[in-house]
Amino acid sequence: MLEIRNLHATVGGKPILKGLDLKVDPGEVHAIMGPNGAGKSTLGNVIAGREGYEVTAGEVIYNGKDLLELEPEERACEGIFLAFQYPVEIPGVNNTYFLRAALNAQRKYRGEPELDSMQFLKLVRAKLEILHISDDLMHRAVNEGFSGGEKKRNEIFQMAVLEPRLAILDETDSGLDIDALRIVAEGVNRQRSEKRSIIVVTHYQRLLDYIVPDRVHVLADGKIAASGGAELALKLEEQGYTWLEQGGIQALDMEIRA
Amino acid sequence: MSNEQASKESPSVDHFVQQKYRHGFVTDIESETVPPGLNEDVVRWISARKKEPEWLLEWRLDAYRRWLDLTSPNWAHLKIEPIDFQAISYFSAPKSDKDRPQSLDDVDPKLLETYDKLGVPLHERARLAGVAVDAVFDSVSVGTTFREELKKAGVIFCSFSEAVHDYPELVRKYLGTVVPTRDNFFAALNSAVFSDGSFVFIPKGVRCPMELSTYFRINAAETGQFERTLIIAEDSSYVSYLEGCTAPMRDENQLHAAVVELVALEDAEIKYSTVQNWYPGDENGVGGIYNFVTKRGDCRGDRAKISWTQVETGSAITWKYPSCILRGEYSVGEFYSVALTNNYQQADTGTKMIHIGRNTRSKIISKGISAGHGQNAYRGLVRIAKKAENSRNFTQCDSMLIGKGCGAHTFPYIEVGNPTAKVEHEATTSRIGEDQLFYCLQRGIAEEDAVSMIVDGFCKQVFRELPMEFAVEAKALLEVSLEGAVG
Amino acid sequence: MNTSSPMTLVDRWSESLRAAGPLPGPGWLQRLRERAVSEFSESGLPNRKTESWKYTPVRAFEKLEPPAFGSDRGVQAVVRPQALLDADCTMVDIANGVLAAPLPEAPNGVSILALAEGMQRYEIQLKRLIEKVDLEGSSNAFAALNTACLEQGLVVHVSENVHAGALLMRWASSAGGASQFQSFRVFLLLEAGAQLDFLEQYQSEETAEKGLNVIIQAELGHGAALGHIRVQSEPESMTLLTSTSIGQTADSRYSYRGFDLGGGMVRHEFEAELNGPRAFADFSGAFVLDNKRHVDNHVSVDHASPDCRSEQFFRGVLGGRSRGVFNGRALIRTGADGSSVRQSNANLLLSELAEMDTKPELEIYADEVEASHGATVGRLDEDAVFYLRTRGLGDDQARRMLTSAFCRAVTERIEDRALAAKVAEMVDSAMPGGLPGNSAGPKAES
Repeated sequence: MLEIRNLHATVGGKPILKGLDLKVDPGEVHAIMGPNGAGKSTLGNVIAGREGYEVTAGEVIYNGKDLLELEPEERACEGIFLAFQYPVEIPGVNNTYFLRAALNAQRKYRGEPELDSMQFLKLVRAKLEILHISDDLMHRAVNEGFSGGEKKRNEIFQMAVLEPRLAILDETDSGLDIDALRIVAEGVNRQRSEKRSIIVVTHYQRLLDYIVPDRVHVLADGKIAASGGAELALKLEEQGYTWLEQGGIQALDMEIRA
Repeated sequence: MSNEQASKESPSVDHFVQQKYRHGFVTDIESETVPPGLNEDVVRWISARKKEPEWLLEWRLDAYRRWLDLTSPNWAHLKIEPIDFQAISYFSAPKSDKDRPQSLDDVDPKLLETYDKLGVPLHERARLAGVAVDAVFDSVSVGTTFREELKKAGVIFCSFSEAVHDYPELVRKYLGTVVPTRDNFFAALNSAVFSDGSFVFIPKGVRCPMELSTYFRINAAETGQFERTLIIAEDSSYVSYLEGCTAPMRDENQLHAAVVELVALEDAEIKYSTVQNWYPGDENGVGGIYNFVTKRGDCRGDRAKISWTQVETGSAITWKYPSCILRGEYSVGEFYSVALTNNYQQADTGTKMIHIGRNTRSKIISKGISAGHGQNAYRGLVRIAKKAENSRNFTQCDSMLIGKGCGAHTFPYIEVGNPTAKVEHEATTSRIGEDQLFYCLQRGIAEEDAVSMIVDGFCKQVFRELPMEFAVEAKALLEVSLEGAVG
Repeated sequence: MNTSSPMTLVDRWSESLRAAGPLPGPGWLQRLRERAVSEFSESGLPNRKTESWKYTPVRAFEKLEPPAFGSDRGVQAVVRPQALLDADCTMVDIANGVLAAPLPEAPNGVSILALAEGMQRYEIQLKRLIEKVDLEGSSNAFAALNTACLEQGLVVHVSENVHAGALLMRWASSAGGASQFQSFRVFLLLEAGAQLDFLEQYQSEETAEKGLNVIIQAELGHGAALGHIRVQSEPESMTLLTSTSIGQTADSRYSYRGFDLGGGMVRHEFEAELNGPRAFADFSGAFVLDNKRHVDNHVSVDHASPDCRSEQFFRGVLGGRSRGVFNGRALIRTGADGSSVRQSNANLLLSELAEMDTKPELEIYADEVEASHGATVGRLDEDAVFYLRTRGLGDDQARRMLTSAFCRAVTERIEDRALAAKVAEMVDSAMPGGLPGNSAGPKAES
């Protein structure tokens, strides 16, 4: 599904990713953890194709295609979804209208017929319930005046409607209280399937209590410093990231190998 | 200046009176155009040709003389080559049918393509493209049906020329009372030579049963150059008037100087919506209409309301400040505007809200979009006179920049002379949000669609004020006008 | 009307300027003065039709004598105000438009010189600055006048990386005497990394009609910082014009904190040119008006380089028949990407007859910018008044507290806390006596 090899990327001339390798197979959920500034959000933005994130070396292969060659909207149409850490507000653009435009753009790309507003509404209603999103939210402008929790739920709701093949959830847990976290996690879990891969980018382990990953990677200084199963996240939570920096990686490696 | 020259060449009035008879105007009237240049002769000729009463001729001549003393305004943020007012022909009769395209097959395919994009109804396309009148059955019949219905309600809606003949007292009572002939250079020019336009009268207590639109007005073709509109809403009446249309209008005349006067009496409401899409010139800024418009509404009675909504996407030069004089107590003025400049278009547009009466309210929402090499300026005046107790104004004027070569400018004048007034002005200028664009792209929306989606959102507050179908068209128009703005 | 003497003010003044003959200084300066006289006599004073003087009446000048020359202006009679800062700070006194001798001893790396000496040492720089002043057209009539009688001046030079500390300039005019129109020019030359706190105090005793026409020209080197504080509490007989222009290079900072608490007709013009990346100019001002006083603030900032920031923040309180004017302008030139501009002007009208005219303009030719402006004119928020009253304050007290808090937003921008407190007190005591429903304002009590 996704294979990243030796990825180097800079932001404003400053190297952030310094040789990152990552392989995600269909149906897998990978968690990427790491301290602030390790490059977690950069990874999501590079995959989504954000301007200003310059890839200086390495490659990203997605479903056999060179992802880096594609425009951001082409990547989206190919099934890549980024749930933003800070979803932007777009005043005046109705949430429903926006989402239908997005869905139809993707359907058109795939050669599927576009949905009319009735068909779309039907689709949306079903998904709204899962995320406990009120109708009212759909009639407001995209993310405008949404609370932090509403924005995050709206992201996962969009994911539910757009049904991506690869979803990257960038700090989707930040700013959520425990109830909201549960709703969001449940929304994500319902979307786990054999065909869909998910990369959960997070600073804390707590999200992973709800979305149990197949693999956990620790990103430090622009590289995957360690990889393991779900238990790695627990270990990190217990020891903190400083433990990593103080030579913990080697210890961890030993542990995993043993 | 060329008008000075004109005044030197113009002999005394007496001389003209004699001359008029000697040359015999009657035969001249049959000709289709007057030679370029403006002098009292030309003014007399136009008036005679339109078979106008003496008082109107005098009114025109008075305006002409005032025009000679005025100078073309130079304070606007516009770069304009000097206009030679003596090189312009001030009257041309509508083209005869044999000179027009005989069917849509004769019309420039590019124009038809644009109509298609805008979703202009088939029966309208022919009329807009200037196809011979007898080929445009639909619009004529539609117009006639509407007229019957209006007549039943007591509403007068006709061309200005008809009004001069059929309702001279009304015209005489109100003409020039909102925009005096001496108001400004272009208003004076219009007053001297105006060709035709619309006249609307809504009697006391009548709510006009439909939106009035120049769209359906018969005989409206090619009155564009020096259009004159007068709308009177008597006590407790209501009218919504739509001017222009979204389809690009073909016009041979480069200079346009229209005047619109609105009078709202006690408890009356006038809603005036404009979509202006005159030819903006090509991508290199060659050609295009110069549009110098004076629009003003007078809330003469208490609790009167005048609301201007405009979507300006056309013309090479736009100079336009639809204004409200809030004379009546509790009267309300509103101005909602979207102005878009792309390529080499320039716009200097805004409004004036003159609060004179007590408890008057005004609201200004202005959205400027600059793309390409477009220059877009908001210029507005909010004046609270000494006696205008408890008056309120809220102004929001936002500008959006798309691309490197364009400019967005804001020149608000705020003059407050009463301590009980409250005036608030807010403005922002920023480039189209990169974060917003990326968010849309990430959801799979193509860049051009994302831009128009964001621009549409930016303009929502204004579009909301337009009548439904007009709003849909305006949105499509904005999209078409923005084409090529995103590299 | 005296029809037999058709000589206008402009004619009279021009004549007296010509009659003054050559003033001391280099030949180019003399030639420039002569040009300035002809520019002035040709274009005359601005009027209502001059866009930048639309709201500024110039009739106050009719009462003034032609511009004064020489140092013989009854300087001894001038009462100097109590210094805003400690008496031992570096201080320069200007009395009746004349630089008072002796000049203070300057700290190391700093020169404080009279114009004649300054000209000898910094002629190239001064020439460039003097020639830069636009003399053409009626809107620049007073700049032309100032140049025409350019004789009295002060030159301050701060060497590279020197932190000069504070310099206080006290302006005062004598009570009585002729209705002089005085001109003065200040040059502030800050080399790279230099810093200076420049304070101005305008305060005279009740005088005959007096006029003062000041031009301040500053040049900031790379990374230099100029703090400019002005506290003006002249009597109503004073007509004060100041024009401050600041040329800024990369990473330089200029900040202005101005307080107009007096004066009859007062007009301040500012022009900042941000000619290097990351330069920052910040203008904050408050004015408190009463009676028939008039205060103008015209601020123009030119963003000619990328990543510069500017801010304009002005607040006014207007009572009596006073009139306030704010005209802020920010120009962002093509290529000045990353610019950020904020303009804000809020005003409280306290009286039926006061008037405020505000005009915050933006002219933007670059697309990567953030610009916003806001302007409000109104009364105190009645909800806030009510809230305070429910907490036990009297109506007067509540209003005074809120009005004072309104201006506090500007005094708080003075970094020196002690000075900020002192200025805040001065602002409070300058509040118009006639607060609505308040017959015993702070002024009326004293």
